[in-house]
Amino acid sequence: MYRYDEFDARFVKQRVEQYRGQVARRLSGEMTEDEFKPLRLQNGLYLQLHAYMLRVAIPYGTLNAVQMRKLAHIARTYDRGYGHFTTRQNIQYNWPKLEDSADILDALAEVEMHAIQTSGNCIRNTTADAYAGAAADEIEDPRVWCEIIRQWSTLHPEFAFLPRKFKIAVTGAAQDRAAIRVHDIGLAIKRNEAGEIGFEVLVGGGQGRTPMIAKKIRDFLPKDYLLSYLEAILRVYNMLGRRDNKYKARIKILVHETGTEELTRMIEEEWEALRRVTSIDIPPEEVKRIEAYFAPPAFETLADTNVAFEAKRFEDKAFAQWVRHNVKPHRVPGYVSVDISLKPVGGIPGDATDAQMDLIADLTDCYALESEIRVTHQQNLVLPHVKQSDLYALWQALAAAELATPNSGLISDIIACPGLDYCGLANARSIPVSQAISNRFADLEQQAHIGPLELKISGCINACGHHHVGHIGILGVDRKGEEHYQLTLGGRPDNEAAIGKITGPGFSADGIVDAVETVVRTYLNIRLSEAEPFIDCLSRVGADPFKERLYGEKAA
Amino acid sequence: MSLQALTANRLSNGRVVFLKEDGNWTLDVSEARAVEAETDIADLEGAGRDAEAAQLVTGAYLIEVARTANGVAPLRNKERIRALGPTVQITLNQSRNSAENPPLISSSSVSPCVSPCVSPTDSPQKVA
Repeated sequence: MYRYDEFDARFVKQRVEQYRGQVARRLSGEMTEDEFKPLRLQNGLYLQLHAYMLRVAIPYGTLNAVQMRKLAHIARTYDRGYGHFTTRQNIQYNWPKLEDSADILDALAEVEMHAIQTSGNCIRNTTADAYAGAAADEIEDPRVWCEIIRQWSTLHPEFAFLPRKFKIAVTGAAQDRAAIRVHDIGLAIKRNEAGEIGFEVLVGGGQGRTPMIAKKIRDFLPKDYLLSYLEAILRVYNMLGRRDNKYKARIKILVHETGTEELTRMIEEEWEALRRVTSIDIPPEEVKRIEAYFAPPAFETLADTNVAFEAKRFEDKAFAQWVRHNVKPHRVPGYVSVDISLKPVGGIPGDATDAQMDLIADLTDCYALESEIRVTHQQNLVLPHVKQSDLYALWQALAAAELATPNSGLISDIIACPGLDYCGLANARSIPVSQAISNRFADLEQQAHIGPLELKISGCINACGHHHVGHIGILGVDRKGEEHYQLTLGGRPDNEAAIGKITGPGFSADGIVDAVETVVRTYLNIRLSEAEPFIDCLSRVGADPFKERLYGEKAA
Repeated sequence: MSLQALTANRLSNGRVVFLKEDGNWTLDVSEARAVEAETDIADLEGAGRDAEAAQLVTGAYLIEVARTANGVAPLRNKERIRALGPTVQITLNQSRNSAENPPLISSSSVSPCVSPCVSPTDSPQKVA
């Protein structure tokens, strides 16, 4: 993974000291809240429903054991003993004190982390496939380019005050596991007919109150030109994006109002003009320097399957169940990637205690090559490079800490935003709904019988819980002071990305759990076989059979 | 005017606080000063501005409240949760700090947002 050079380390330290001075001036009254607020937000410190909230950047979801231990230390020392991993592959602390916040940033800087650009109308943390560098279907590791984007976009003076926040996601595999089609820019690494590597460029995806699937503006961009092309997109957006209405300020609205064809023309024109004047594209030797940080670990030459592993899988049913759902294929024989579920039955999606984080760091040191961990946008963790032969021991240790729920990709692997339990913007609670659904479907055999099903919950229309792209989506709303929940079906975040459609009238907090069960029972009744996943069944039959069961025949 | 109380966030640590009758700030909403007359509400707002100017609190604003057997309580759902803390147990695998932060509600179904059921997570105290 990338390591800070001297410049990076000096800059981040200087930034902490600058912030420390700002906090001191705020506390002494030299600075008003109006003056201070943009400064604290630029350092990731929000004021939420109950307290300050610090959002820490985890670049493209990659961190190491040392960094994880520091996150645990911060949770224990400065917060209430836990952190919340987010759909943007970051971590949030819900209870930091302003007076401690510079010390927290200092602690982060010690392990090459910070909270810069985790707020504000700037380019946020670039996200990536959590299985980057490990996935069997990968063309090239996307993190090299994520890091290049990170360096280009960090404190980019031209893009510090965009019309609105801006999110980029990159996948290097054929299967999109980074939800690139619901980002402001989605980049898919691909190979052209000549065998060259480049990017398919998508623009204008997003969720929120106006969900849209990104439009393709370039089928193939040679990778050497990535930065100049991104610069062109951002320039056009910066010039033409609306600043008069924050609800219409994202680039998806610009794409929609301008038209994909016309906007593409403008971007290409800007790109040509940019390249005539100067080249901001990264020189090949610098690409090579950064690539070196992401060189594959020293994999051993192993057999495809490990006999002891297979024996344990045969002997231990619980282990076999976990392997079936939480262990993913690796491109190197004898290795796998492991999903660490942060979704225990009835738990809070994405939450991890300090003790769990410490344990994960220890297990990473023991069992994961290069002590590397990934944060997924599904709010779980991944150990990308684990030997098959180590799986049983790893599983036992994880299970003892409630980190081995075998539910990856199943109905209880719920994405949920913090909702009204923590968020100042939310209209309804998300976490209790997710817990109730998780408890309703607590039987893991039953979950496995239901099969792959992505359920996502947001507590307001800002859609941080990705409900628009849930196979089953739940949106919490405030109806005359009461929490109320809309149900959507048919969303998906992958290569066939789609926005879910509302089924009909919403449900009460308890009613929504029953409604989800009704949808699932309907699916089980009408699916062709266990081999037909929920989303395929829904595509085949449409929403009407589900609506009939939810509302009666008239509704359909 | 409806019955109102003044709330804010303590500047130093962000905690939600409420203005009391004696002019100090408390974490316990039930102790909040609740007023109805326009002049009293203007007093509350003035106290909020003064406390902001003194760097005690930030973001002071009025909320609608009711007087209950347990003291003053916010009327709106969002303000109830803001006053009482998250309605969920913070973690299943309790952390080392968990004893200081008891769960407010732990349930297998979605519990309604309720009136005060437990004490705030740290004892009421004066800001100043």
